[in-house]
Amino acid sequence: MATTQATSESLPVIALMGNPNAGKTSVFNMLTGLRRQVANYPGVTVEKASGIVRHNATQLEVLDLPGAYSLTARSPDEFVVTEILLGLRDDTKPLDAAVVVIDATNLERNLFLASQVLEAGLPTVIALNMTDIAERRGIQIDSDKLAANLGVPVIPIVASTGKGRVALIEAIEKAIGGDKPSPICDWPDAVNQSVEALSAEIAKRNGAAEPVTPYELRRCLLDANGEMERKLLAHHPDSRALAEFVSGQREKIKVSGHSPANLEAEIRYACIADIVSGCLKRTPNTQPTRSERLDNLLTHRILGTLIFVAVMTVTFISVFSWAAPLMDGIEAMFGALAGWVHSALGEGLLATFLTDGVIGGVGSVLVFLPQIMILIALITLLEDCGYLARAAFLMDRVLRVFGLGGRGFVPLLSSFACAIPGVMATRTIECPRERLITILIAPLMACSARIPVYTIFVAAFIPQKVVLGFLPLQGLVFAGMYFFGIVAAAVAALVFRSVLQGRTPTPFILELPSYKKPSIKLILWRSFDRGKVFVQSAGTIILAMSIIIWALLYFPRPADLETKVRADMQQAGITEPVKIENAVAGEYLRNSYMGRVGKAIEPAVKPLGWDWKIGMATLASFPAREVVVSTLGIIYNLGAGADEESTALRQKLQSATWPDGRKVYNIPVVLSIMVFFALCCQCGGTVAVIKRETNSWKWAAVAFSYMTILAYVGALVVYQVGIRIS
Amino acid sequence: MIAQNPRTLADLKASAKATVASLQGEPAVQQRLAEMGLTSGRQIRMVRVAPLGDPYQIEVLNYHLSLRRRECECVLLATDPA
Repeated sequence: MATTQATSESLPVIALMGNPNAGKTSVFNMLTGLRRQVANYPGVTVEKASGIVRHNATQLEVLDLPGAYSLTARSPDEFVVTEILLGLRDDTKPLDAAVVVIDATNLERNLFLASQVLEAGLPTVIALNMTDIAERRGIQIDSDKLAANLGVPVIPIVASTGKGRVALIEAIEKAIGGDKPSPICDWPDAVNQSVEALSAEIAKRNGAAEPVTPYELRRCLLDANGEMERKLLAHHPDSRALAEFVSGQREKIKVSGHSPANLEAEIRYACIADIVSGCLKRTPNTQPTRSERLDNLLTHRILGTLIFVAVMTVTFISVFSWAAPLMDGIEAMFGALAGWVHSALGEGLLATFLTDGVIGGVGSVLVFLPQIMILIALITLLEDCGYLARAAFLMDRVLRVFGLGGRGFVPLLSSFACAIPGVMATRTIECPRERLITILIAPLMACSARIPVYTIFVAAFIPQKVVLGFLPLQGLVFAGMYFFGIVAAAVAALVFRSVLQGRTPTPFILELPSYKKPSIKLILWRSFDRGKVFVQSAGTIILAMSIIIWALLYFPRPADLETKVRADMQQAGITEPVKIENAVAGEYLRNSYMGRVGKAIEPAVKPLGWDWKIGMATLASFPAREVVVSTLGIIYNLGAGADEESTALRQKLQSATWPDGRKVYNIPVVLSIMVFFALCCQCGGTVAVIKRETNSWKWAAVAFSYMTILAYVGALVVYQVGIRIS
Repeated sequence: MIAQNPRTLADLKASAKATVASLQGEPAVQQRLAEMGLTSGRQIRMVRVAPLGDPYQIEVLNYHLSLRRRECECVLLATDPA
């Protein structure tokens, strides 16, 4: 690793750019052979992915930039792409060349971005991808003529099969250090004059501050309220006067009736039409294409909806139940490993630290992998074949009510299994605001870790009655908890929608790509890649939390405590070793730091109807909510093995009393606990993944705080109202 | 036929074709629509409306694009030469 790092410092750097759906990731994989490093660019959610191209003696570093339709910087994330392209970022080396990946089946639209990149002043190579599909659809592209018209090399490739790899690498090698391409479009005089005027104005006001390139000035003038304008004004001492100057210049740029907003597209598409004429031939379609016929079925009012429900059901079931045996396997494996370590090291601090702290912690990280990898594989499959865009098309109307978009459906549905892969799946949402809201509400969906919590309390306290003649009350309460999560998420979404309104709204623009055969290679790769990212970024946080909670539950351990419990047990005539062990464990736990904190916070949880034992078990389950069941098991001297099916634990809960003899648990208390667990963000993995996906602790903290506060208030209201009614 | 409101993309019936005249509304929305190929003089086709009445699926530059009604209303259509 170290040697690769050292050499990559001096390697030429190229960047891959392209529209979404142009197959950029496949090109990246074809060039680098699936190995890549991922991180985040500081301060934004753009993922920094890079890899090394090796071919004969050549070595190049490739940056995989996020897919974009245009270099118009509307969001900070999009702005990063522009900055990298122009070599303005300190954390990224200036590029030696740009490679624009173009979908051959969609040449004109894809050339829009290419025409912008050509103006950045970098040696550029066009990778004309999916030439096989284009050929099958009767689209003929004369790549030599296109290259001559564009003034840069155009290399036909099929990234999914690796066709054209060598030619592409050789073209990139040749381009590096070579001539800069010339822009293919001329700007009208009005634009050039405004650029000059703005440049002079800045120089006049700023003195000899850092020079701004004509490219940046033009972006500033054309993109009203864009990031370039914001950056320029932010660094300016007299930003209001400059803002007025900029809008004054915009008024001047009215060329043949086009405003600055759509002037650029008018000019570029006119140039593109000239460039492709003579090198692009389409066999005219007299019949609808296969893709259109599929669309007729898949977006059909009735059949399409049925197919959608079926596809989503399979997706949900797969995350929910296919992952279960794998998760059980991982848990069993770590259980066996812990058992082995325990028998090898015996009792003692080191053994307990290793088994309960480290092995338990690593296990609690890896146990999420099956769900993450299965969900990401399925989403990549749906995305790559083109169906995911149709699912978004079908669901958009429903989700829009809550300020979300169609693409939020799959992440939210997956969150019923587990919010961690759900949050990771929000990458397909293009609008940053929608993505953020989806991330923030996803953890409110009733994930599978809530099932054991609901199960133990419903089974122990909700009577096995039948209401209205056929509805079992227990099942009704269970379903009610699911419904409650959805309603809470909907309300939270509406609140976030109004709170986050200040951010620039992104118009809903969803490309519906033609259906194609999905690439198995891409599906497997993406699934492994996301799994790796999860372990690397969330793994350490989850592990650290597990070890801290373990330590709080384990320490302090005064030896006389155990002696005292054993003596008490002997006096009471209890001789079974298991019972004695459980009593010792329970006493240590009650005496632990966590136990003391639990007792200390009792006044805070009493208004919820809870005693300190519930408070402490709830605190201990902040890294993972399902832990509450086994913690209650230890507290009630049943050992850590108690699960939600344990009748012994149910009986202990049913008979638990306050010091004055009143029963601890009644219906309002049970509902208050369940409401708390429905709303609270008791999942270290989710917090870690939100941090990773939003690239900021701020949003992780927002999600954690709002859910925890909501949970407390919700539980308080339920209990206080509950005791007054009953 | 005289003094009718200008027809926008949102008024186009499924499978009907039309020509883009100009764009209106928020500059940011106009810019994005234009970048996706909805420039003046462009031939477009309404493919279908989603089962719940929104969004719309259109064909432009030989590819398919989905826009919400609100964005479709930003696209003014040329009146067809009778």
